[in-house]
Amino acid sequence: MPTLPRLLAAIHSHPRWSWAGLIAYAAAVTFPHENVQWLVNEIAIRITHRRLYQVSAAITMMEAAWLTWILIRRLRGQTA
Amino acid sequence: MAFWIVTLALIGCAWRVFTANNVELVHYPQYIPEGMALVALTLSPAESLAWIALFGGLDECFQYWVLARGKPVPFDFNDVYMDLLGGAAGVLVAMAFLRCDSRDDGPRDAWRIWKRPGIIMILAVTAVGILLWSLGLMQLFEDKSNPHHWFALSRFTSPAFWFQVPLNGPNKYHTLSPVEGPILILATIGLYAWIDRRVRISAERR
Repeated sequence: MPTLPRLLAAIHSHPRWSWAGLIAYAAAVTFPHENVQWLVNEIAIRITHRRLYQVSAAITMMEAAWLTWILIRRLRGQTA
Repeated sequence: MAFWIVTLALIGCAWRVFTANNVELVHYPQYIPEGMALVALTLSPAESLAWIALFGGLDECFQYWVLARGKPVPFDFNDVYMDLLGGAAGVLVAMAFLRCDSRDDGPRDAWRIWKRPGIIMILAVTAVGILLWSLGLMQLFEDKSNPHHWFALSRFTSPAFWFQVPLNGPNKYHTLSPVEGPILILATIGLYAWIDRRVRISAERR
């Protein structure tokens, strides 16, 4: 059985653990903000800001294309 | 699929209008896992997005009141809006893996969305904000000549609708004001509430 549907079902059936995990994730992506900015700046120093912005845009567009492909596949599977 | 296209279009608009530099695009993937987990928990896209707005708002509270304390910056509703759209993408991806059936509610059932905890929370936060503003305890833009307030939602007044802050990046962008931000966020949650009215989501595996 694919991992993601199983994970989503587990999240639904264990709400307390899931909320705790969600809050932990939110804290983990919120509090190291300065460290992330430092890291991004280090990358910019090495590859230039211009290249960093190009790479960021390329990654975002690839993610959008990948998720669109997943959605199309899932929806095709449902109608078939 | 229609809502996926709407979400991508909104992300494209936010990229053009609200983004100072492309590194800020990380807001979208950052909130995709939260959107996925929240819709699995609540089975409601609108409530999931309400929680996303609250989590994103807390993230910005930390930056505004701790990291940028005293600096001339706004409470960044632009970032909260990007978080919201990332969460919306996560909600839609998760829905593709959950069981979704069409729902045809009567007018009485249409009110159930207002009873959801996440929706109640975000409306309560909005109501408290309006109350504090009306009592003069919260300022939308800081006015240092008036010391009788608890806090201000912006320590910065943008010089024009479009402007560039060279330190923030190369793009000319618009900073959402403390009025525009909440209205846009609530309107976007309202847009996704359409899915709540039309689709019954259940946690059964497809």
